[in-house]
Amino acid sequence: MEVSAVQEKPRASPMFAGMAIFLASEAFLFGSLFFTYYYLRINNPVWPPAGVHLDIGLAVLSTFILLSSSGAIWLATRLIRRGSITGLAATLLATTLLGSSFLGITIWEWTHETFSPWASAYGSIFYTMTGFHALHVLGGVLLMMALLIRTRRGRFSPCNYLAVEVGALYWHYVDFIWLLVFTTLFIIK
Amino acid sequence: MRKFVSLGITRGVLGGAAGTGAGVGITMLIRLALGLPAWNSGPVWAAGILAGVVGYLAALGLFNYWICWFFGAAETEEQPPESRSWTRYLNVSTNHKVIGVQYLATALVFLPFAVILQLVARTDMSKLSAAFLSTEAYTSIISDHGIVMLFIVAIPAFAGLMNYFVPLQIGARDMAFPRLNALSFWLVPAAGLLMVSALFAGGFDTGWTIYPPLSTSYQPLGMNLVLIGAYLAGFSSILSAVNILATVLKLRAPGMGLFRMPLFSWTAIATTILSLLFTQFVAMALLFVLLERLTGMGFYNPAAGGQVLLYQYMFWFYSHPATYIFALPGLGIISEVIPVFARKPLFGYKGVAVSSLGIAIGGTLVFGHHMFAAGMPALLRIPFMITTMLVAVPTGVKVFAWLATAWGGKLRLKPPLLFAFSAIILFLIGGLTGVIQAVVPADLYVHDTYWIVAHFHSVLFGGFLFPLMAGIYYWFPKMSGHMLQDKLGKIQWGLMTAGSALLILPMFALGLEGMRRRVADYDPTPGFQSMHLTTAIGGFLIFFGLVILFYNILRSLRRGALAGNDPWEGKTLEWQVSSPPPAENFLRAPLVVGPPYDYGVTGSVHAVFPDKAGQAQGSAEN
Amino acid sequence: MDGMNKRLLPFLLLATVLSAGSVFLFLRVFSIPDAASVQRGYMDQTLKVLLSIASVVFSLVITALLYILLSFRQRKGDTADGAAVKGNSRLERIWTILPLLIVTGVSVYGGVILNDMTGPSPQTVLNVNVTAFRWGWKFYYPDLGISSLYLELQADRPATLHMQSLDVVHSFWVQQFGPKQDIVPGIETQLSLTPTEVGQYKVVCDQLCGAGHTYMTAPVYVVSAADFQKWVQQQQTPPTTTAPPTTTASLTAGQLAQLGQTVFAASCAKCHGNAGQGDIGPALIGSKEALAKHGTAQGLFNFISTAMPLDAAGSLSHQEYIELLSFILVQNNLMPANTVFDESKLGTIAVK
Repeated sequence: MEVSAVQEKPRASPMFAGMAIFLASEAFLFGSLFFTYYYLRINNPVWPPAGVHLDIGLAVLSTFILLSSSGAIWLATRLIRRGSITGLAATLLATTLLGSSFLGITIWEWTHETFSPWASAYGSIFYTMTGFHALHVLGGVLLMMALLIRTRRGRFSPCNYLAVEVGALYWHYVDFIWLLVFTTLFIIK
Repeated sequence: MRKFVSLGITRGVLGGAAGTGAGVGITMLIRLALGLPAWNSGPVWAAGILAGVVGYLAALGLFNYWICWFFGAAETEEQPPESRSWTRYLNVSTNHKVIGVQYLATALVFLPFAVILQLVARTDMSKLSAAFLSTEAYTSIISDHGIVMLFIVAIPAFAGLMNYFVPLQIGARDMAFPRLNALSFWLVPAAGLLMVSALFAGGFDTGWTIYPPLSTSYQPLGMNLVLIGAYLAGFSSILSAVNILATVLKLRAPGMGLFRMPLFSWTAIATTILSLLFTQFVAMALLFVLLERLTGMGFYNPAAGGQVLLYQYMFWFYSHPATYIFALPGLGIISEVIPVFARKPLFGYKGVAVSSLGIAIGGTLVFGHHMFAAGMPALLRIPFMITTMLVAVPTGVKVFAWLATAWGGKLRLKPPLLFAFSAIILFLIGGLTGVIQAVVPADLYVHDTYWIVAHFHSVLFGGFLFPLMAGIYYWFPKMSGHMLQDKLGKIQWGLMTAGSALLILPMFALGLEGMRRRVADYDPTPGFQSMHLTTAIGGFLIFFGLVILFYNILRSLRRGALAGNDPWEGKTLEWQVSSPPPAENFLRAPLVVGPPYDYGVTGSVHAVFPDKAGQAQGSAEN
Repeated sequence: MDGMNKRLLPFLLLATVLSAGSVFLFLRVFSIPDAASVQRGYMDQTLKVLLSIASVVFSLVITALLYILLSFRQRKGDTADGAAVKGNSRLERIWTILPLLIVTGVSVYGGVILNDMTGPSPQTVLNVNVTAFRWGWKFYYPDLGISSLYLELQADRPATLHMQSLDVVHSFWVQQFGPKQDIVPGIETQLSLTPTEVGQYKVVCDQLCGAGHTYMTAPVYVVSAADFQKWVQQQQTPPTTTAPPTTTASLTAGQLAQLGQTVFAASCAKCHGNAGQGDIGPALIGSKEALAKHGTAQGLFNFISTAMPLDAAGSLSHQEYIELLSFILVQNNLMPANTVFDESKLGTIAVK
């Protein structure tokens, strides 16, 4: 039996609350990674160690891509609220593609870094931090694909777009985490 | 035979085996192609186990709904109809009551296993015969005892009771996310299996605390099994916390403001906030150990710029709040039981409710007290001494409130109340010795001695084991429809209380006399052997108590007296429905109109059940 | 109410007796055995005070529980509920604020003791570098240039230990001296001690470090100032090569090995296994892997006579070490049992 979830306020629903609660947990996941980075940094006089050259240009490009993707998903929620199914589909597709580009750049960076994950503790935390973030982006991309499929199957309407709101919350969050990762790895160093 | 094969658990085991085989095979082939050693290596088994877990969960059908959802299937909140046969506990169910029993049963299966491990160790240490355990065997046994007790018994047992009773107490139909709930449960038997298997894969001799470099560089394959098992258990804990928090925040019945909510649900909030957030830190700390073992990453390796103490900070940042995860629900159970069996309102309800959060929040700031001798900056020890002592204040609020509740009451000395009283005494001993240890100069002597072992067994018995027994005797009638036998319960209580005293008190003395913990032998010192023997006897008494419990449960499931809706004359919502409750909990939705514990207060009503015409009815039934 | 007060009186009395009794017990009667340092003085006092406070709280609660259990049981036939008392703000405030004050007081007390205990080291401090490894200890006196397998300290002279680990986390603890300190790979940790009683003690490892953890010990000797000077001089003088006492004249290797078997059982078996097959320590009989690195029987003898047994290095007599050596050599077929044992020829016997 299909639940015709007529939501007055998607953000009041248990599903949205559940996602928010889950993201609170993920904050501590990334928190543990940031703690590791800064603890190792304080205890190592030379940090990053010699031989580490970071390509900040690509990282800045990644940041713009993710910020744009947040814009796209934000637009998606506005469009479905106003009833535009095609708009929803287009913006979901844009988010998916932008997210995938971010992943592509990440993988390219990993395969071209001057340091490996196992040669030093720096490498280990760098790859683990970017790795966990990339995993979350991958999860987001899969979520966007699912939302796209569901849009094509006609599951969303101006009265029923809870999943889009929940997906948007997740996406913005992953984006925000990237800003912290970027600042830590490429600016503060 | 057909029935056996169609059981969910059978499918799960087969799926797990298939997944493990596939994972091992594929990884071996990849490694052979890369010219790396392929047979019996850490990465091969790790990949195999992970694939096995995925196979196991998939074969149980836990991913089905979401995979269909991915491909655009309609959403539905409808859950499959409940079977009435006992086999439903061996299948995947999304009903919180079935899941609650599954958690509890799993915990009760692993509990005697973990106890027996320690009985073997205690017997060896009593020196009644020549040593029959090698040092490695002894250390593996006590390490496995610890980690199984904490992750496969303590956390799941209370997860089970919270799963069963929180939705009932707040007047909800089920948890907010029933399918997620099922997934959270089924991770636990897998985790348990891994941790037990570790003993047969070379064991691990790091203690349950798994400090590197001992854990990263000197352990056999068994260590990896424990690490993955702990990771799965942590995952389960986090997902379960998301569910419980969303449920309590969003699905409370109309009229149930937070200060009309029963204490067990209050402590559920406090507990799950901790497990939601802090488990991530231990997960990462353990993942770093696993990564270092499998790939050589250098988080903890000083030669690579890593830091050994990094692990300890991350580990204890979780593991101290974890002690409150183990104890808070138990303290909630004591708060439930005393008003009912003293026939008096819970004294200072608001204070007790808020103290749950006080303990939880305070408990996040004290973790450094596990590291006073660890090599952290000396000055840092003072703030942790202060914060540790402050946590005694909200804890004291609870203990005094319990005494004040019982004072002037009409005590019904049934097993739930008896277990609650023993719990209070044991928790008090643990708490007071905790305040002693908070003082740094005192801790520098007692740290890593039997004193500490005595301390944490006191708080665990007082905060977990005895309240669990109270909870079982209190709520078994609701879950099964039958009463547990009173007399057996009292015998069990006597054995366990006496056994706990014999177990714990000599260990305090041993610690003060300088006996280290985690050692497999000791010099012939006057009094040591008899103290070890006494603790062993205490352990055996506790074990006999557990045997009586299992007999009582199994016997009462069939032949126990019928319980009816409300055998204890309780007011909270779970007692207003049948025993066991209907599938959807409340045939008529409750409307909460008053506080939950106003026994003796004339005219006080906790909840009514309006019928279709809006007429308030006293019961949820007709 | 009057009836209740009357019933309450014996319990109030009991609470007072228990509290006073336990305070007396912990402050006056109770003691933690074998205090032998300045630090132990502070720590023992702290523990006694804290135990007294804790026992007072415990006595009060236990008495209250006892009173409750005896006075408020529901009588048969009584189905009424208890008194409808929901709370008492004043009482709740008291039992929040009073414990808060107590724990604050105890914190201050603890902070003061810690501060006094870890005061700055004076000029005359004895510096010792401690190296911990699986599963033994090495000591080095940087200011004196002395290496040792046991810890020699001077009574009433503060010592600062600078500690490093070669492998995993260990911990230095002499129970009689009080505090312990973990030894962490990659950093140096320090511990300050001032022993006060001449005597022999034992340092144990107090952080699980593997199979040998239980037996990872080393002797500690606290001696007078004069004796300490003598020891320093003795250590700093290079050893004279005197001919070893020939108490082994005309005994065969087999006969010595027989005697050696008894020594082995008493001093070596607990780490190397009853039959030398290996346990915590490597196998010595049946496998020559651990022996080979010493090259010759002389090398092996030098090693065991200075470094073994691991928990009492160098403590056996010369004769006993010779007997042990014979036992190991004969059992491994490195020396025929019927040869007359000749100490001067040990350098010619290969151990492989």
